[in-house]
Amino acid sequence: MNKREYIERLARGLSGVKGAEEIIAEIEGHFADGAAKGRSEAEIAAALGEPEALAREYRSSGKFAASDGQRQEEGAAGGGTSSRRRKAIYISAGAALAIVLAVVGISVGIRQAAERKAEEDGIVSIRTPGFHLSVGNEGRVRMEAGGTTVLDVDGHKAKGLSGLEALYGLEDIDFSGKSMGDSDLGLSGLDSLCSLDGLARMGDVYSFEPGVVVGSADEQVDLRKEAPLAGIDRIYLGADAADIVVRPGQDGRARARLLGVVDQGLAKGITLDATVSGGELRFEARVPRMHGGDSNMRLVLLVELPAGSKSSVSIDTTAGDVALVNLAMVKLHARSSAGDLAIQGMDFGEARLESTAGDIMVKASKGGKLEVQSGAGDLLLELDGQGCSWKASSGAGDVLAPGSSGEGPSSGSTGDGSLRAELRTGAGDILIRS
Amino acid sequence: MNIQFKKGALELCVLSLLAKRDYYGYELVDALEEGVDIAEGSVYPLLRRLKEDGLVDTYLQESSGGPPRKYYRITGQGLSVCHELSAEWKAFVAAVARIMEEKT
Repeated sequence: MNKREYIERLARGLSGVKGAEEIIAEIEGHFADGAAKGRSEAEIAAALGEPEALAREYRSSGKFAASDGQRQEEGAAGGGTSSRRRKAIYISAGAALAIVLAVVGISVGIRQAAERKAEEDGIVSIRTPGFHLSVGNEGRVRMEAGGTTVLDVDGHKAKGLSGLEALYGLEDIDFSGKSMGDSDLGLSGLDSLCSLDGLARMGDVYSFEPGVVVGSADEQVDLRKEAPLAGIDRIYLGADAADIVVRPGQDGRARARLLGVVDQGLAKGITLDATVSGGELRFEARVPRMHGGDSNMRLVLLVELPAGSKSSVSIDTTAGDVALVNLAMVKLHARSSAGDLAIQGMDFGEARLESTAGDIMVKASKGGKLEVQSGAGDLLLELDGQGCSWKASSGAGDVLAPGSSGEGPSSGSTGDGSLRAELRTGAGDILIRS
Repeated sequence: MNIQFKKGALELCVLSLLAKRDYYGYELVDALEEGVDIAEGSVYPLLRRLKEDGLVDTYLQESSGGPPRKYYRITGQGLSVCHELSAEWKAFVAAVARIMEEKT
């Protein structure tokens, strides 16, 4: 039988089968590959088996009944416990790459040691059930978790980077596997966090351009308040549903500006208050309840504080994003229910960042103590310098660990530039940078 | 050899090969044939089922001359199934060996 006849008979046998064209293309490819190896068409056809038999196998694929049914049950059980799975990852990064990765299965209460395998050409791959990371010396990085490809770096995009260093060049990384966990931000969320530059821009802040009025019916909001900081040791910023951006100002005063566009008729209900009492300064933006789900509002509370402040700052927004850039403060507590949080170039004594559903990013920042918590968002931590004790957790998001330094809350300083981190996620996946 | 038995073993072989690196169809068939006598065709429907089950996924890559090749790549879930199956397989083979060795 020649190739043409084989393919024709196969095609007849596959009529009505979903994806038949793809199957046929693959078998044609098989003939081509065989021919390239010097086999005759008749030989290849004979080795493939009767085309009708092959078509039957495709039609009934999945019928290897006993082992199949069992596995599906197991698969379903595995899916049920996946939300409870915990992964603890200890990273040690030195000149020679050494990675020990441990997966802790709470449900079975046993810790399975990961299989570590260093292949030729400097390719390192780590494999554990449900977690797979492989790094090639040509900068190819692929990571899978829970059956989903979470990271796939194309060789040439990460060119010049080697080993795990490829992960440093996040901007070069193509997060092609984006469906992650419950959060549809998934890795694209992390991705957008990673591309922040200059003034921390994220979410609505990113696309917001002050002074641009969208549509003729829209109203512009521009409210300003300022206050001296003498005698102030606590600052509170509340913005309801607006985004909050905090950055260094020109002098020793605190300035707040509520800026944005809203639907016609909504502007008059929006207020910005500044109050001082008992050593506390409060800037509070109030936004009236929206009627219906189709109201448009783009508001940002821009706050300027002295670059170095002895105050402790506390920030609260319901649906907005929060970004703080290039400031030093004793204590920071930022919270958003649904928004993202980002800090960049910050120096803090103590910081606590919380979001119920948003992503949290810490970039080029240092401090004594950091606690980051998200209910369902992705986390990205990059700390400068040594000595910051940090703790990060996300209920269902992804956690990206710091590359530079950091210590797990319960482990001591390693002192040799190596990193030891412990990360936990409820149902999401974990990315490591080292 | 029992056909169902052989198919189960084939699945394990395919997953084990893919756990090491990505393969395109012909290459995989070639690698399998080195050790196991199979109908070459049966590998393809198996790959399709593995893909449907989420144990492998595929991507296209340019080949020198000719159309791009479909490569198979094991997923995290595939790896975990592969681990399970090989543990079962080893236990089974050991048990058979014990029985065969037994002198009554």
